[in-house]
Amino acid sequence: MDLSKMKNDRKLYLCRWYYRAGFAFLPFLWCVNSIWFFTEAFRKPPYDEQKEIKKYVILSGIGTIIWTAVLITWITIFQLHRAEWGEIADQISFIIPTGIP
Amino acid sequence: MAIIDQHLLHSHRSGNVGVIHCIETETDLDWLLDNATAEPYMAVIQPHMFTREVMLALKASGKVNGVVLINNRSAERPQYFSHEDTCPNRYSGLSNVEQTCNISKPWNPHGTGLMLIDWGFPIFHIEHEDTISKLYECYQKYNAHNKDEQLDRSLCALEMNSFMSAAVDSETCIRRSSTPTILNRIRYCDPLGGSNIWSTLYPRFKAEETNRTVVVVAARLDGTSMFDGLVPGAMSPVSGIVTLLMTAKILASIAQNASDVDVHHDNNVLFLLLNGEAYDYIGSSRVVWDMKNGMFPMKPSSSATQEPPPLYLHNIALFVELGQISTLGEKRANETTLYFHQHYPTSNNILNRYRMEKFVENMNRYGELVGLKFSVINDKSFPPASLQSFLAASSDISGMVLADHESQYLNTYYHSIMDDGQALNYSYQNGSKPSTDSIQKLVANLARTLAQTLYFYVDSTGLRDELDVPEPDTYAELVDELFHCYLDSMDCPVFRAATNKTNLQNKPASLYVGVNGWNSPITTLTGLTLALLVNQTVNRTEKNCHSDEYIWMSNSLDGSNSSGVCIKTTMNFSKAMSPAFYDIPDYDWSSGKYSTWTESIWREFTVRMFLKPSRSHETLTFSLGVVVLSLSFLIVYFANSRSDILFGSTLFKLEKNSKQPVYTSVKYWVRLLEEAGGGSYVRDGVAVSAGLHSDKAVQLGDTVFLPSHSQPQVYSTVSVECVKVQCQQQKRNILCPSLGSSDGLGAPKYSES
Repeated sequence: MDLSKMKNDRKLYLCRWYYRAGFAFLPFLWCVNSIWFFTEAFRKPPYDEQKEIKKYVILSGIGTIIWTAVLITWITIFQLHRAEWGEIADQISFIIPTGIP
Repeated sequence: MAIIDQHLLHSHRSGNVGVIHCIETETDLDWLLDNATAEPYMAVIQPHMFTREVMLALKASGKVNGVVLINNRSAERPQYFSHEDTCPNRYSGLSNVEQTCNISKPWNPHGTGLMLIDWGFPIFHIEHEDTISKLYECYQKYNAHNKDEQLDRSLCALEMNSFMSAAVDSETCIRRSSTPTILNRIRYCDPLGGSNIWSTLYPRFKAEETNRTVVVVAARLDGTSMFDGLVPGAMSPVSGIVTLLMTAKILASIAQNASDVDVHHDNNVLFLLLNGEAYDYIGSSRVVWDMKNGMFPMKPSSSATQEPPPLYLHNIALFVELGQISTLGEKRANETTLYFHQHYPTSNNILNRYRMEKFVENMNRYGELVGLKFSVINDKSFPPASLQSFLAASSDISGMVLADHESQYLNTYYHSIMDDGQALNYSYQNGSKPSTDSIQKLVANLARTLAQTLYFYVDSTGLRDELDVPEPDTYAELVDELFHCYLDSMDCPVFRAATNKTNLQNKPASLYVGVNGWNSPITTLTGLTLALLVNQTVNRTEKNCHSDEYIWMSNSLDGSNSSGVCIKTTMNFSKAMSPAFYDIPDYDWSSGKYSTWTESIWREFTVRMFLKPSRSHETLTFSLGVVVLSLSFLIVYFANSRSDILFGSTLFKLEKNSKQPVYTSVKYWVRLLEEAGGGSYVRDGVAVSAGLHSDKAVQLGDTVFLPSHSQPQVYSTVSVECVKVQCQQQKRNILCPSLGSSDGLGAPKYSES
């Protein structure tokens, strides 16, 4: 989809739905939303829908940052302690590596 | 006990690399530990340096990435070479009840225990002479001189690959192997195990009373060593296996001559070959577990009345285990002494004591005729033996272990790659008579004595001194053949006859137990040989010879051109697999009650030797690579940005020579004249638009890229005569006016840009 060929109300519709769908534990949608519509929200000359798009872009951005922080924290803890957690760690693993504890 | 079978080799995923360093003397070792700079190293060690001290020093130094054991067969052997514990199976068997190994005088005094250490680097074994000499050559040429300046030059290095999937311990890897994860299911390790072999002298009957007793004659079926596929196990277990096979044969022939095979007997003889005993008594502990649960020799089926009743531990009247048998012991006045080891609390039971005394007395009586003497050792310490599993379950079993040693093994190569025919003083006689002090003769005599004593025990209707047994010479020849099968080559007459095949693998047997679900070849071969030797031929065709009781075999021992016979046998296999893994729910892995040895899944082992460049060389190569990479990016960038200028000569500017409309076209059809080889011809070529956006209208006179027909990169000989433009949108060709004439090869209507 080429945003440059899209009408403004259509842009707003898209941006809004990316934002809403992100609540279904889909942080990558927020991430995409905040990057994709960044130019529309902050760089383009003002138009009617821009204010609302800006709002969704900012909220998606915040969501992305929170998710990133949470995921990095968890992954670090898990990787550091997987071996010592033993059975519990194995149960919550998708792939158990070979050759290392 | 829950240690992963990690003793040999665990390399990094992509292999371990190290600079070769040969350790032949203490000086070499000290140099490596103190002065070596070009770490990591691969230590190349001769057997006499492969000791606990050296290996631990290497491990502690952290400079070593792997060890290669050079085993030149022609070289002199070290006097001792055993990597098993000084107390084999220290934590299993009776050890749950009491300590049976005297620490100050252990059974395997020369055991280094190297096998039980987690090294963290691979240990490889090389015996191929060509490889050994290449390795030394490379070491001498590149590494051995000016050793303190090794960092400044290229060095000979080895890479070892032996990646193992499993990690931590058996409990973890078994759990991981059996936990289904969503994405994939990897097996990390397999429990060690295989099959036990059992057979009875007399067939057991369906309506047999449950209080019938059996005399168990047992031997272990497996050995081990530090290296995969190299378990010759001559003294342990082969000497015991061969003695058991011969005893079974002689006993069966006595019984057949007395023609009492099909008569009901109160006493029976159960031959047991137990597998996995080297790894904390896998086979025997399984048999004990099966017996306790009424599942030996097999799980009762729903139609249980059709089967003989299961055997329980209380059915065992006497347990005789055949341990290591050899001629290494002291020999006085043509009399070889062998030792019956008794577990001392057992002998407190008066009935048991009487039984065993009687048995040894008879052994001595029959043995005297062939120069054998049997002493009883009734001591607090008790050798590592399958019997321990039985005694641990029921101290009321009267049992003895027959072996060549007193309180310490005579075998100085116990559980090592050197426990082979040479260690046993065995040499193949190939049909001629083995000498009187040979191992063949000893085993034949022992088997005969044991068979006579056993027969007397099970059929004590009277003292039978006149038992019709052929001279042990024929037996000694058969013993010779049997040892030949195990120690020299599995492609031997007896195994060929037993399998009814004309050729088998021509290499010595390896007696490692293997993993559950896979029967090692030697297990199958031994089972079939037992059936063959007991040899009760029945008149059946090959077609009808397929059920539990019958096996089709070759009828001549050399296996050649025989039509085969049907043999009725009681030989069968039972599971030799620790109940800890799948049979006991929620087994407590730390209890040490059952063997929990597992073998990791591994990819094939590889070793390669190469010249490792010096550090400065490596740095130079790497920096050059970086420079070339950056340069190439720069060049591509500049070429791209100045492509107009650089490739100008190959671009054509088409003349606006007609009043054709503007087309949204992607293809230009160009009639060319190629001047090649003196002649000239015309062909249609395809010009690809270049430097234009595809969605932009193209006009004649624009710049297009025109490749030549024969040499796509050469354009100078091409001249454009005429242009036609294929209009994609209108789906039709528009020809330029001058195309019609066949000889219209006018001046090129283009100009170079």
